[in-house]
Amino acid sequence: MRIIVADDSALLRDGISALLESAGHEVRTAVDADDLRGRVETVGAWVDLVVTDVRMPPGNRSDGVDAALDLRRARPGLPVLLLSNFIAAPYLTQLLSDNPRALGYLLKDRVGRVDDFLKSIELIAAGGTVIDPEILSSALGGRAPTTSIDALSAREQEVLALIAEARSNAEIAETLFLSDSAVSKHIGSIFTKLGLAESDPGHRRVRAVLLWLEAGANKS
Amino acid sequence: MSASSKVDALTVLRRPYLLFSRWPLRFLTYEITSIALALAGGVVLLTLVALPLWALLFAAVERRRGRILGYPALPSLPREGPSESFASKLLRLYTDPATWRAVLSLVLSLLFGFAQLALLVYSASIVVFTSALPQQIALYRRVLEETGFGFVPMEPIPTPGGPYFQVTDTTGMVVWIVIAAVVVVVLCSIAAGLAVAQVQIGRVLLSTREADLEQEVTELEGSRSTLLDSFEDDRARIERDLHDGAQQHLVLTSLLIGTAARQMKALGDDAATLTAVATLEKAQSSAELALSALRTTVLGFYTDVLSDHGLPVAVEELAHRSTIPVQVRSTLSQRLPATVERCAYFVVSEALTNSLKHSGASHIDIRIDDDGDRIVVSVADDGVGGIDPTKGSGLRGLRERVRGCGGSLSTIGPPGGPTVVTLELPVEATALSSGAL
Repeated sequence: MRIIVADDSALLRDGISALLESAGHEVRTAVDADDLRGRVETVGAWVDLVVTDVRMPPGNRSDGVDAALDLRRARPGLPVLLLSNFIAAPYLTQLLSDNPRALGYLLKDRVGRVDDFLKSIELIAAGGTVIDPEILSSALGGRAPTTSIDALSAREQEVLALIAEARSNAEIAETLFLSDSAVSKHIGSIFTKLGLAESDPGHRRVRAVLLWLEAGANKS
Repeated sequence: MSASSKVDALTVLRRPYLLFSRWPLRFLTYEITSIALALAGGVVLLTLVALPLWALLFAAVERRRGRILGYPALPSLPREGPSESFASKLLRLYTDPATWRAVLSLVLSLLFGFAQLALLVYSASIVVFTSALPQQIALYRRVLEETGFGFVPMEPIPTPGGPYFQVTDTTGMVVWIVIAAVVVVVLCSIAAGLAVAQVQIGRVLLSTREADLEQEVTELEGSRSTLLDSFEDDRARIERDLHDGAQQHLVLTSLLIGTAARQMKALGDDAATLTAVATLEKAQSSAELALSALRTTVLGFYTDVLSDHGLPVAVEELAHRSTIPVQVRSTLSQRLPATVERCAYFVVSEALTNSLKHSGASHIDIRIDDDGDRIVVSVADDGVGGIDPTKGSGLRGLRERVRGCGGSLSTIGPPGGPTVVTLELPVEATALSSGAL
């Protein structure tokens, strides 16, 4: 796999690069968010996956998140793994509501668990979503929602799985051979069963996805 | 005696026949003059020392006296610090510029008072003299009739540098009355002018201290917010240092340990290798614990979420980390100025920590409301209550902080609960529009 690693710390950039290379990947590096954007543009189709730090120059804020969103806007579905020193759930919500597919958001500590880290890279490259359990539970507000996923009917679970793949209602209807209104009804029922309040409609889909991801994490 | 001029008291004191000379009388005379001077000096000194006290007494009257002329009474200035010793009160009394302004005001009052007195006496004498004119003329006429010729019964009053003005008949009287009336009106106008001048000067002298206080308060607030800003900068710097330094090294350590473990495993699966791998696992867990501890520390400082996503999201973040259920409701529709956001975030974070630590609450409610030109943030818990706003440095520090950003903090916490901490913060209209994302 051809990977670009972006981190402003030379130590970590080299460490992660060495690890990925030892696992047989081809690696190029970027030193900040702007460098990352430029590098991805230069290499074009060469890159299979981007690993980026969240906090990087030039802004030293969530520049990595912004760069990831930009890159995926220019090239939808580009697999990106974000590494963060912090449990900052709002960034996750932002990324997930953009598109949860081929996306990873892990605490930086996880790179030490070398095998798991390399497996996560493979999963993301294959279009999967890998979210750090600590960040996930923070994003869910520390509640224990696994039982409510089980309360969904088999059909509703299918619909939720497709929501988690960022499919539109029309696509879901097509995939499951349902009418649009039936899909809307299922989604309404899912929201109700998962206890997602009417007050934040924009975030309900994302929160449903989060719950789905957590249920998956707990089962595995 | 001629001898007295040649010897002095010191020489005399050695003489055995001192008592039988004139010297005791001279000593007595000298002592009496000493006592008299001491008394006089004492009175002068006492008057001077007590002058500020008198001046303050006069100032108190002076502040209210303006009401006669339609000026509102000046507020009397607070001069009592809480639990201040008598000595320091006295010292402050004599070093306070306001005291000496009151003294100046007293002196000016004296001058103005005498000027008014002079004007009054002059006007009154004119009025009295004028009102006596008809009798004078009647007297003059009677004398004229009785004697048959123009005898002037009174010496005319000489006016320095001018001709005599002599009233002898009704025409003269009318002229005099008109002149006198004009003079009296002019004098009264001068008196009124003086009164206004006195009131104005008095008000300036006796109320300046308020401006001084305001300036002092402004300066203090300025220096406090500078201090708070520098705290804020320090926190940000420490957080950044931890992020750039210790955290990166720990992550790399963990990464290297993980890699080492992987390489070891590749060597084989004999007992020695497995033991070494197990040790490496422990080392890695330890590095991870260190990272986790560091993250907890840094989270206290972490404000990127606040500046990126605004107050409600950042407060949600705080709520998520709480060990008891927290409900956050916000009607905030736009971003607030950074200083307002930071202040509100700090208050919520502190109030939340207090509730978690002390209240034993089972539920916490946080409300953020936009009230146009201000925001109202409240943190309410259903715990045991019984907070004393005067005790505990935490709450006091919070209050200081809130005052530093121009807001106000109210706390309700009767024994038995609930505890409600409410923050009100003004939001500058200009900053509001530019602060939107």
